[in-house]
Formats: sequence, C-alpha cells, structure tokens
Amino acid sequence: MNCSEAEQLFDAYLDDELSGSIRLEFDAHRLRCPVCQQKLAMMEACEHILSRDGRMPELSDDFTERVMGHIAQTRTRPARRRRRLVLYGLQAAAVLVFAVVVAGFWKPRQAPRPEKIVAAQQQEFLEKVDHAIETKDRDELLRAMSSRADQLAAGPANLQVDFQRDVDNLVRLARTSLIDQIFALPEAIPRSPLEYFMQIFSPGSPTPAGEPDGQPAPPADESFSL
Amino acid sequence: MTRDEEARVIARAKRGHADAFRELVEAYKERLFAFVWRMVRNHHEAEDLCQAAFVKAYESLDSYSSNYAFSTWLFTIAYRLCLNSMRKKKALSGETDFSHIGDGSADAAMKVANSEEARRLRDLIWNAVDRLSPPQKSAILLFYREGKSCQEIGTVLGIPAVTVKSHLHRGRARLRELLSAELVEDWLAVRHLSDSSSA
Repeated sequence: MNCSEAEQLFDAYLDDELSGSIRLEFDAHRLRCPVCQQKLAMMEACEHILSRDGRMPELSDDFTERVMGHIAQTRTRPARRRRRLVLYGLQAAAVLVFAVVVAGFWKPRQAPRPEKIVAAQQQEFLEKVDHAIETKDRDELLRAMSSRADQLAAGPANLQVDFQRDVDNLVRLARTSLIDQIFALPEAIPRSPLEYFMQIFSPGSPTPAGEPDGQPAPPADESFSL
Repeated sequence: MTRDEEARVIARAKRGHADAFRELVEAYKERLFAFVWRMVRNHHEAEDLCQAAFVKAYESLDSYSSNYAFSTWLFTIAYRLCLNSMRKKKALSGETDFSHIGDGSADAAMKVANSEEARRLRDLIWNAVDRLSPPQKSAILLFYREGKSCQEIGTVLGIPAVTVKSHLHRGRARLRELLSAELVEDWLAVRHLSDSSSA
C-alpha cells in the first residue's frame, strides 16, 4: 500500500470502519510511514479539538427570559391554527343554535352595523372564549356563546351559515382535548348533535352525560326562551 | 432529561404550557448556542439566532414529530436561520470573535490551553474549520460536537445521509489541505494535548 492509497482510507480509519486484511495493510503502512503518521495525527488533533474544545462566549444570563418574553408576545396573537378552528367552530355553533331555536321569531332587529363595531364584537368574543378555554370555565364559555348569538342575530342579515357543516364542525371540535374537557362529551352522542347542544344551551338543562358530579347547570338565559 | 421526560415536557408545551417550553430552552440553549456561534462566529448574532430558533420552534411545535429527536429538529431550525443570516451577509469571514471568551477556567482543558503551542494549534484548527463551506462545516460540527449520526445530520441539513458522508469526507480532506500548510513541528506530539485536558 502506498501513501496515496492509505490517504483514501483515512476517513474509514478515523471512523473505525476498517477491518480485515485492509486494516492490516493500512496499519503496516501507517507504522512505517512518517508522512502518513503526521497527517493522521493532525486529523486526530482536529477531532479532539472539535469534540472537546468548550471555549465559547458566555450566553447572556437573561437569554431564557428574553426567549420566553418573545413567546409571550406570540401567544397573545391567535397564532395556533387549531385554536382558530375551535373558536370559529364555537362562533358558528352559536349562530347555528340560536338560529334554529328561535327560527320562528328571529328577524333583524336593526340595520347592519358599521364594520368596526362588528370586528370589535368578534374580537371580544374570541378573547372571552380564549380565556374560558384557558381557565376551563364552562359557564364563562356558555355565557360568551349566548352573548355572541345575540349579537349575530342583531347583526348583518347576510350571514351565510351552512348548518350541517357547522354542526359537524362543532362535534368534531368538541372531541378535541380542548373542548371535551369542558363539555366532557360521551363517546357516542345518543341523540342528534343538534339536539344535544340545544339541550346544553337550554335554561335549566341537566348536566350532560360524562361530566363530573356537582357541576351546576348552565345559567338561564332569556335568549333561549321559546 | 431522559427521553421519556422530554416527551412529556414537549407534550405539555404543545398544549400551551409556557413553563414546559422554558424547560426545553434551559435544556438546549447552551448546545444550540455553541453550534450557532461556531457557524456565524459572532456572539450577539449567535444569541439573536438562537432566540429566533427557540421562538420559531415554539410557534411550530404542532409540526414536531417524535420520529425525530427534539435536538435534531431544533438544530434544523437553527441551521436554516444560520444559512439565511450568512446569505444576507454574502460572505463568510474568516474572522473569529473571541472577544467574550474568558480565560483561566478551572476546567482541565483550560490548563493545557494556557500553553502557547496548544493555544496556537487550537486557533489553527478553528480557523481552518471556519474556511469550510457551510454544509461541510455544519456536518463537521454536528458530527464531532453533537455526536449526531449521518442520518440525523442529514435531517438537520435537509440532505441524504450519503451526502452527509460526502461532506464529512470532503471537509476532512479540506482540513488536511489547510492544516498541512501550517508550521507544526510534530503533530504526533500535540495530538493528545486535548486528551490530557479533557478530564
């Protein structure tokens, strides 16, 4: 074996991948060739330095706090797509339930509101629901949805709601780890999803199946009276 | 943190518990900073990039899959941020920012480092590493400093494992080429300097 052939095997030697007769030939060359010995020693020195030299600047003491500060700012934005889906589903459900329950009596109470007011109401609703989910406060969630249903009923008459899609959406979302901790839906809903949720929103409704004992029934709300 | 503990912490962080993510930051910040600093060779820029990597990791947590080690995923994010930063600067400088490196650590490596020859060799080697291409440099750093496999390095760099092997091979060859030109009387004598210093 000559130096050129040996050098092609340096990587394999350093990675301990040489074996058998090739290894024997390589070792025989290495032991008698000072040039290859120097080159290998150089590479070994490199490896030692690269893997063990811990010198580097000190990371700032407040590094973690700065990272968490940025993250806190991120969390105030509705950045999580899943959370948005949940909030959208809840909002759609509020529209759906209110429209179905009071279908015979619903009519626009006032002319469409300026965009700013509608956007502000939506933002307020999203913040309330967000807080209710964070704190797992079922009552607050129901109050927010009830209030939102009122607002939507009084709002623009051109809201397009696909009832069946929104019911399916709500059932799907209700099975997520976020909402089912609040409503504790059973695995199989015995009645139609719509009836099930109408029962939840009706005044004096019993605790849905699967919820812990002692949970108070949702507060009575005139919006849902027939 | 064991792998199981880490999985639990990540699961909590995915559910929105910021304190869980803080644990991940504490667990990985030093290693990540070491890698990023070696890539960009600027203290403040390295801190900014590390910070951005952690924030990006938090925002993208939903996309993290336990099929990969969390460190691999985190280093992937950091590597891409480093590349973007280096492209913006348009040139890789061979300058090394050692301005914040302290002296006189109690660590055994530092005792040896006080010797002039060891210090000179260390600088030679790191300067040579700095002259490698970003993929070669990243492969070398992740292989030797992080102990990652070619498969894991491939995940970080977004290339096949066989290409990682090629980068390692070419990186080593380039280092031999660069260091061969340096005046070192006897590499055999200095080869084990870090052995004695790595206690």
